[in-house]
Amino acid sequence: MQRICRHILVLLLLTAAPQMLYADSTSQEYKLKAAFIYNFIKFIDWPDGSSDSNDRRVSVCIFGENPFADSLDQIVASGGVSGVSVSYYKKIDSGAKCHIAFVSGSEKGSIAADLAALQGRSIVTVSDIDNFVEMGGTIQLTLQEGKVRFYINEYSASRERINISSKLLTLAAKVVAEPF
Amino acid sequence: MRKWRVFAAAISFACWAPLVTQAETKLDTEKLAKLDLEDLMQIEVSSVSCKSESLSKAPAAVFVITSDDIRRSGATSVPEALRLAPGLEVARINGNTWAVSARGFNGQFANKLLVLVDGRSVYTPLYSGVDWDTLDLPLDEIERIEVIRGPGATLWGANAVNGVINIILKHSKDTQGGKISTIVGDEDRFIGTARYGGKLSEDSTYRTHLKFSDRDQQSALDGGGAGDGWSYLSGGFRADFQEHAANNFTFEGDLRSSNEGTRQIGGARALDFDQIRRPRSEDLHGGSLQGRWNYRASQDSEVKVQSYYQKSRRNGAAVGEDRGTFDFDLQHRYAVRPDLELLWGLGYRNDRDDLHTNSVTAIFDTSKQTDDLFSSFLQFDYRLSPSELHFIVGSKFEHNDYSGFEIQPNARLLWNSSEVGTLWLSVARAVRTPSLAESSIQFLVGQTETETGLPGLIYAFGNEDFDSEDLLATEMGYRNELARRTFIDLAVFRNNYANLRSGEPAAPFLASDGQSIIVPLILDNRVDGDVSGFESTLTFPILDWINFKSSYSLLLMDINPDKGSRELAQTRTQGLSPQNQINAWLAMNLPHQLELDLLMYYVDSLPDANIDAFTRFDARLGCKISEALSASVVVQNLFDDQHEEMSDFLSLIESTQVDRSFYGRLDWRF
Repeated sequence: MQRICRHILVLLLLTAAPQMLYADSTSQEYKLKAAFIYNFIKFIDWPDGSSDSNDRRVSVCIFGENPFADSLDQIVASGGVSGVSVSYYKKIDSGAKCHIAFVSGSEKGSIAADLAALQGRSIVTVSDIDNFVEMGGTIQLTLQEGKVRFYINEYSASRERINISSKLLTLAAKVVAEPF
Repeated sequence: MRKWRVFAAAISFACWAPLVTQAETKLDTEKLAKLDLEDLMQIEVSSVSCKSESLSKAPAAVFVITSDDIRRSGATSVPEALRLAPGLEVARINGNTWAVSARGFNGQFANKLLVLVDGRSVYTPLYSGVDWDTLDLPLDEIERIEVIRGPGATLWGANAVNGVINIILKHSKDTQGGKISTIVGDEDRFIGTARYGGKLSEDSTYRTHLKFSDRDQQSALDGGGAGDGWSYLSGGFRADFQEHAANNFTFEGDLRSSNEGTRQIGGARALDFDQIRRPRSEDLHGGSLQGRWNYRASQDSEVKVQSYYQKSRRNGAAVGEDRGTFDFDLQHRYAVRPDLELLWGLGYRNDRDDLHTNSVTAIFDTSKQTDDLFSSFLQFDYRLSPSELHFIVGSKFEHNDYSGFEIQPNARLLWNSSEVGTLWLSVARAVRTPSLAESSIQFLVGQTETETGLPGLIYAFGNEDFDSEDLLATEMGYRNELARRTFIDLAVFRNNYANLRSGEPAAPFLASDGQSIIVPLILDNRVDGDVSGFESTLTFPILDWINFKSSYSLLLMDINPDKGSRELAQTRTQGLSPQNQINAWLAMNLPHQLELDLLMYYVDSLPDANIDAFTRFDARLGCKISEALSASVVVQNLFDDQHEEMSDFLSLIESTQVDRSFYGRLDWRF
């Protein structure tokens, strides 16, 4: 069966190959960033009240223009962590139930207001907007020498009663512990 | 959410070289999901060289010929591969000369198309056109050819009037190891390419190549050999140094030497016909050296710097041309705000040429000359948030030694909708700046009878006051993925030309030798024209293993002299471009690793060249013998012994007939 599948796959690839540039266009960068966001879930504990039920469910919200295309959905679908869902919002929605909120670069102009709207609801805010952690966001993704790195604002996390594992803190390129 | 799959490559409409930046190593989401954080931190994001947008989002009529398309089409030269693109006219005049143009105005000296190889301009300022016989690139090293119809002058500058062809070579890390490819056939008698790529350090790679081709002569119009055979030897290298993905440097260069046969025809009716028509041999040499640095300071700021020097020498039957070109370009992309992006650049080009008159058919009254070109451009991309509506506005500012200061502005509107598709609209001004020939040539165009009894020689005379040709282009287009692997792309355009080249008759005079009367036509800008057209491409899988690709191009030209102009010949350019062109391609993947390709090209008649419409059929059967070895056989012009493709009244050479041809090809990797 596996052999047949592989043959079909090869055939599909071959037919796809001459096709003018057929594939998906999500940049490498955002595929990689999506994988980071997905991995963060493993290192974060949310306070009990923020979960819907006893079994662990994590809801990831994308606010603003979606830079991931469907790569985050694909990673969630093929990864090992169960109970993760992804939803997309054009704008910050203060009613949305989120554990992780990714604030897209398109929201750069309204970032302060957006963070204020998400505050106090035990949400881990993630973004690749410059100075995101300094503005009170929880995790900032950044590119250093072509590789993805992240900063953590420990102060914001503890204020939101979010527990970030020490392993994630050691992997972070920068940890901010003071309010600004 | 609807899965919105778009054409793979990323486009940077705003870069001089790569319009489409294709991911070199595709990150597989399935694999990514299995990696832990430490592993993820080791992955480098492949460098995206300019602002990247997906091809589906380009606000222009773009067609991409991939390396796989070139391989499977069976094309053995760059202009032959260009036949795949809609909206382009490709006609082989003789064995080593092609006429290539976009959206009309084709001819040996077609002058409204810009051609770049890795960002290096390869058109000659002598007549603002491309000598395709200096461009026998190793086709396996081409990553893709981006064909942009319509003006691209705002970003690329003068000569990007009717279109831009970007030939982008593969990164040296994609050509590691050795490869020897051999073609043996009746027309392409031998084409051998040897390539080797290796590593200079952990992050730096290189490749070198050597190519030799020997092409047979075509058939003369009256039968027999046309004496237009062609042999070409070239070698080159490329090295890519990468400090990290956001900081890299490319260094590349090549040398070439070739010999070709030709028969002159220009004005031959007037003189000793057999003397002029005697087959001549031309020697061509050239080389280039190029460096490119790409630095991405942050996601919001990226700088590109490029410089090259190229030298060419042609010992032509009519004109000898020695040329050295130095070019420097700088480009900076900067996100001013999340919804506003600025792209600006500066450029300088210096051209030195030395011309020798070898025949009475084309005489230059200048020998050595130096020309400077200064340019700058500025473009804003404003996103009307939150919808996917972009407003792009910019202009090129350029100063050249012939027509002085030129402004070439452009405004585009782009709307991307996952439900509807992509719609774009563009209004642009572009100019075709005067060429050296137009300012200083004496060009024999024909013979006439005079009252004196002496033969009259009609000469076109260059004019120092010859001005730029103007274009105002309005275009719109639509593209969408209708279903899986099913793409549609439509474009309509209307081009309004003013100040096109004309030849105004002036008072005849006695030649200095007293043997003939010179009837002068002074080059001027007194022709206007309206050209409109439509281009479409449709690609879909007939079956999972059969891909169908097709395109249709319609071109309507209306060229008229101004009131008071006594221009006679230039209006005939409208009959040198086919009104209808159709391409169809069945690409089949058969069992046992066999590939079968059937291609059809229909080209409408060229009334002003007395060329009938023709349909060309090509077939290719390829197979992969092992991982290291693959073979293919190709037949071109399957149902046709021979046909003439172009006979252009301005051409200096005699046109010949393209024969049916076949070849076998063997590729060995090691």
